[in-house]
Amino acid sequence: MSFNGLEVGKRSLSAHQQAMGVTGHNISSANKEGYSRQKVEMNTITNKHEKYGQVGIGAEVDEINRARDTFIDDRMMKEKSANAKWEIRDINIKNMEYIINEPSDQSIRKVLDEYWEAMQDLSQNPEDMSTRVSLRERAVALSNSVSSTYERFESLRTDFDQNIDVVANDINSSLRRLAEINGQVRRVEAGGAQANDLRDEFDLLVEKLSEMVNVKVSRKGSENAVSIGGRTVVQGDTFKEISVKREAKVNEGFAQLYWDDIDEPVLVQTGKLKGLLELRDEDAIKYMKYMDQLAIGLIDNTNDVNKAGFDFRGVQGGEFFETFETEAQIRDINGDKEDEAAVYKIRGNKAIEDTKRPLSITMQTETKTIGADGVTEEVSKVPFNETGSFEINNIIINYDTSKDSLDGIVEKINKGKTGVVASLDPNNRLVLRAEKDEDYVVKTISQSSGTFLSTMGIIKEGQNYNYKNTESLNNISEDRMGSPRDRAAFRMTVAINNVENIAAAKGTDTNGDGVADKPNPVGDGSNALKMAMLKSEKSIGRFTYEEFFKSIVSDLGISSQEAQKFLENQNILLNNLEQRRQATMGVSLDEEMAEMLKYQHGYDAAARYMKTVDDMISTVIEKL
Amino acid sequence: MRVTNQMMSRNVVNNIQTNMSKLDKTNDKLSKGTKINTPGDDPTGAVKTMAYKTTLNEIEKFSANAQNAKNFLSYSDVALGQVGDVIQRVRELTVQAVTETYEQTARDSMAAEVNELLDQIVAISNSKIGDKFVFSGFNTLEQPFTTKRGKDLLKEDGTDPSLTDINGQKRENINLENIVKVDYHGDDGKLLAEVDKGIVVEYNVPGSRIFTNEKNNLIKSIISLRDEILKGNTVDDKAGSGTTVSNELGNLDKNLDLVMRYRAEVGAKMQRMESMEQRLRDNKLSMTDLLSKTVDTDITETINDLKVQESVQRMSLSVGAKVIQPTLVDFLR
Repeated sequence: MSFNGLEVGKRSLSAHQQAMGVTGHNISSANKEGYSRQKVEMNTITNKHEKYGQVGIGAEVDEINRARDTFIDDRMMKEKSANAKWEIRDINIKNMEYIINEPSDQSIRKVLDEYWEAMQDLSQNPEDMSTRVSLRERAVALSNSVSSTYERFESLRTDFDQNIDVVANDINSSLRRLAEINGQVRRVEAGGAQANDLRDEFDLLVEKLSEMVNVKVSRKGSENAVSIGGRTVVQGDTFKEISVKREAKVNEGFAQLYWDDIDEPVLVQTGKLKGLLELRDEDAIKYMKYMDQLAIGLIDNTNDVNKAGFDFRGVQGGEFFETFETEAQIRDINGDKEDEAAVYKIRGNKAIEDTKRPLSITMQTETKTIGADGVTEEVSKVPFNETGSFEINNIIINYDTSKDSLDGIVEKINKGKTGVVASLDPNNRLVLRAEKDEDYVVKTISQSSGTFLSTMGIIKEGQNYNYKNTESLNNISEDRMGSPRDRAAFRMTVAINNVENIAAAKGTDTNGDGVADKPNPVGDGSNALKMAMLKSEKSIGRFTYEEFFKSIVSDLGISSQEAQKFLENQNILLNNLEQRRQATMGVSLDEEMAEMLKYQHGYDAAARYMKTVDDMISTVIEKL
Repeated sequence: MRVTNQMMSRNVVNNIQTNMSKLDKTNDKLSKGTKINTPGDDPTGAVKTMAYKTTLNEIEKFSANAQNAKNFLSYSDVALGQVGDVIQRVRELTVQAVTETYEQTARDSMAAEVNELLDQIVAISNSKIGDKFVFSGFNTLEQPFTTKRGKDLLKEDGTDPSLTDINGQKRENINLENIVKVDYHGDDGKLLAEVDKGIVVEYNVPGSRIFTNEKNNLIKSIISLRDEILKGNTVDDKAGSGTTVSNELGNLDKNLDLVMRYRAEVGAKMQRMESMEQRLRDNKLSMTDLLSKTVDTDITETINDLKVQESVQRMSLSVGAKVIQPTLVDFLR
């Protein structure tokens, strides 16, 4: 008989006490976010006995472990990242839907419809001032609507940019805190112990971080390293910071994210940050460009028709909407720090009456010579007969004037994906316009063989045009317009102040140059009708207005639906994962109650055992 | 699998949330009356809705244009009908005057009637709809026909308003108060209206085509016939004037033909406008129907959905009440 029994009892009491403590901790932390259930690992202590071998001398708490499945954690981070991206997309695409406000009756399309209606009214009542006034009002409402829609997208875009700044800051502070926790974990675990609650905090924080940006955690023993986009940014207690750079010349002065220490861009693949970047650099700008396209189409085409007509006083029409740049300006377009010529529209000077029949028939050049008798004039007609080819933005267009009509060549240019839309102005002169995708800049024009372009007056014979060579501006038609630059939609305004200046009437060509010069009387609304009929023409780039709005709305609708669907699926997936994770780490109160009873009984029994040992010892002491 | 209390309550909350958001959507559909409220609700539906709305707008405008054109045409039709009647009457009078034997005084009063009829034609040719002159071509704000009486021309260029009659007698100032010249101030402009996508119709007849036609000028014919009556000419007169009378009568017939031809054209156009209007009305009906089918909430179906969702919601609430149940704690007393 020794005091060994008492020692065994004491060990058991303290082990159960400690286990009871852990149970208490579990119960009290049951509802703490990110808490993982802790488990007590007890181990027996043995002595080596010469005869019996191992002799147990009780048990003690060896370790307190977290119940955690890091595999699910990693999956969770990945999914939460994606979820956060789609969440922010969903909210903001909805915002964009409210701006476009379709299919309601308070949309820009409705305002446009009313404008067309007023234009139709004018075509019916060109002599009526009140009709003109109401058309002007509608046009003002339209340009306000276009510019305010643009502005709302623009301010949304600025919001995204500011949010990116905020998120970058959040990421930085998370990284700092993660490094701190790492340091604390290292200190606590230096003695071989487990820093359970600190690790819970780390896991929770890194999961929150994964909602902002794509992160990966690699766990090696007590070392938790965090990486973003392949770069390790938290290692031990050191971390790297994101710095936000803004340069006026790059990406319009919007925030760009760089790693502060190595000056390299942050590789953002998913998370809220990616969502914001996409919204800022792809979605918002897309709808702003749509608005620009709408404004440019409206301004340019309406002005063209208005200018070809005559106003209430019989004066040649002017601009209906304020135009963008009348002169082709010189500026740095492609960012190579060298100047280029920014020409948006080039118009030839040759007006052709018949655009449907082959050019060789419709474009006969007349030469007058003095006849053999030295008195009479002989007129000889030379048909424009050639096969040739020209290049627009390096796309080759072949033609044969004995087969191709002017309309046919226009169609060829438009089908050729040249980035330039060809059309005929109201006087059937050839017009080339740059498209949105080319930043509204005509890049190159050259005639490889033949003389079509120079005959139409687009370029000078034997010359080429290249926007990089600003000198070559002299080689193209003088009748040209500068690129609308950015924010054409924002700047859209009605140029008509006096409603008499709306050119509702057409004129007649009296001198035979194909261009109307004598105004028709005020009752003629045919020019207004022509402006109204722009509605069904392909006057926004390659689209009619209806097709244009269709493409905006279906674009937006599909984006929105995509985000919704993704979120729905993602929610189910995340719930599932969370359930699976909770199955491991969650605290079950029933279970803890059972544990509590177990430990209580264990403690009771140990106490009882000690009492018995005590009795045994006192028996020996008293009875002997 | 280990199941914890948190898991179960989380599940219940999730399900209740899902049901609530479904209920919210259904309620939204019912209270707004439309099932497509943003493009994201149904992109193709939204695009269709938009197109229908724009088309409806267009149809309304085209209907108004067709209506306007029809009014103009029916006005022209009435006017041309009246002109036809007047020409008939002029013809009757003239034929009477130049074929039968009358005293010159009787002829004079016939001539006076012809002059009245001429006035009437000029009045008809100057008809207006609202502020617009019907027969002015593009020059709708200006009265197309102005008349000059003998005295006006006398003042202007000294033209003598006298006539020399068949017997070589000068009838002094006989035309002083009569119309001797009619001027046209309009042009050949054709007013256009778009009555369906890309379909543009002309809906006026310029007065120059009917009243002062270059080949056989109606007004000139009437003036010269009146003068012949005043001169006392008859068709039997061998001298040149007899041919003048029959020539001008022939002209009058040609003009009557012309007026009738234009009237027939106007009538045909009116009919076309009418059928156009009918077609637009039909289009509007079917478009409205399509729009409603695309965008409006199907009330019966949606209320049914609502009821189903409500009962599911009730169920999930009651299940929730059962799941968040007493734990072992409650039994350890």
